Amino acid sequence: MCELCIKHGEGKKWYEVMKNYSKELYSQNNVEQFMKDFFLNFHKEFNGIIKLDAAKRKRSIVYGFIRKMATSHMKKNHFGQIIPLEDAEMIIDMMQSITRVPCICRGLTRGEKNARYCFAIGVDPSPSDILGDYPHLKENLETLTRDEAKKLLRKFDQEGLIHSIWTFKTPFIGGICNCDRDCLAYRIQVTADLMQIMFKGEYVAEIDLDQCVGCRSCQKLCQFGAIEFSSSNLKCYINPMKCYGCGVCRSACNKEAITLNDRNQLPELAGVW
Amino acid sequence: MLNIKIDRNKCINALDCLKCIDACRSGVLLVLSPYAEVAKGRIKPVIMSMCTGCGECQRVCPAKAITMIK
Ligand code: SF4
Ligand code: SF4
Repeated sequence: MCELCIKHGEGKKWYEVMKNYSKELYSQNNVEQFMKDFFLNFHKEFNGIIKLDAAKRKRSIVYGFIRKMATSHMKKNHFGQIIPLEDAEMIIDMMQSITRVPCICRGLTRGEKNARYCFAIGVDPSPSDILGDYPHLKENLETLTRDEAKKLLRKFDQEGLIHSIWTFKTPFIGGICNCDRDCLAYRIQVTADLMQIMFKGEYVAEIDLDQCVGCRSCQKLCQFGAIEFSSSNLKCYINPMKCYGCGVCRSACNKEAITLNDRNQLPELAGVW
Repeated sequence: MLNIKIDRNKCINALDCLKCIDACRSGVLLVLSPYAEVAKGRIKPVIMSMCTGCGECQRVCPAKAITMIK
């Protein structure tokens, strides 16, 4: 179990607990104000990233320390976890309101105003001014039914986009994202390894070698470089230390050779998040 | 240490261009905002630790706004 499950999971996965989406938590933690500040000042966070990056580059002795501080700051405020499609669908089933919103990250990494890959869940952002000064966010909102949301999630999954959940004042969960390299969290954690902003999923994928024909289709979809190929026996292998448990590779395999297993079953993965 | 300078007076319409953003294989450069008023000349080398010094951004920039300082 990840740290968030231990702290906020009540014996289950933390994102299975309704309390972590509740209106009570939302008002108790003053999430509305947090979201407003967050969206308005998002671009200012870059100065922090630039400092962190500079410390890493200079191999400065304080880098380890700043990295730890930044991660613990993110854990308290805005932290994520990778979830597979079925868990994302389960969350959708628990929600009363789902709103499709333009992706903030793709706006900041690529200048895209209408890359609508993200879902605001639980809170409906339209009536409030959470989205602050960003008219493109307000203009491009769309309320989705559960079925519409799930259909989109499945489409994103097939395109190889990774699903993740995000807290706004942890443990309040306010969004599901569908990400690739243009996601800032991915860029910072996976591409550049500057600090930790999200946990791997509660799962790890495994290929059934009896089923695998070595077509390597799965390898193409894995955004974490976790799938290795052996030309000696024409099989693919998933490196458990690298696998984020997103499950996206499964949709590429027409031999149905890939399954997701509980990460906790492998003792040595217990600390790999 | 390798550095990238972007001349804000030359990069005047970043959002209609984005050539450097597309060219950077390492994800070093970011736009910072989807709004022209804010983004104007504000393409920034954010994750310099990933920069390989390939010079692709400098090569593709039609305004010659990017300089690599080695
Ligand atoms: S897609 Fe399936 S059959 Fe093809 S290499 Fe991957 S696991 Fe093997
Ligand atoms: S190997 Fe792991 S990280 Fe890669 S796509 Fe499959 S589940 Fe995701």
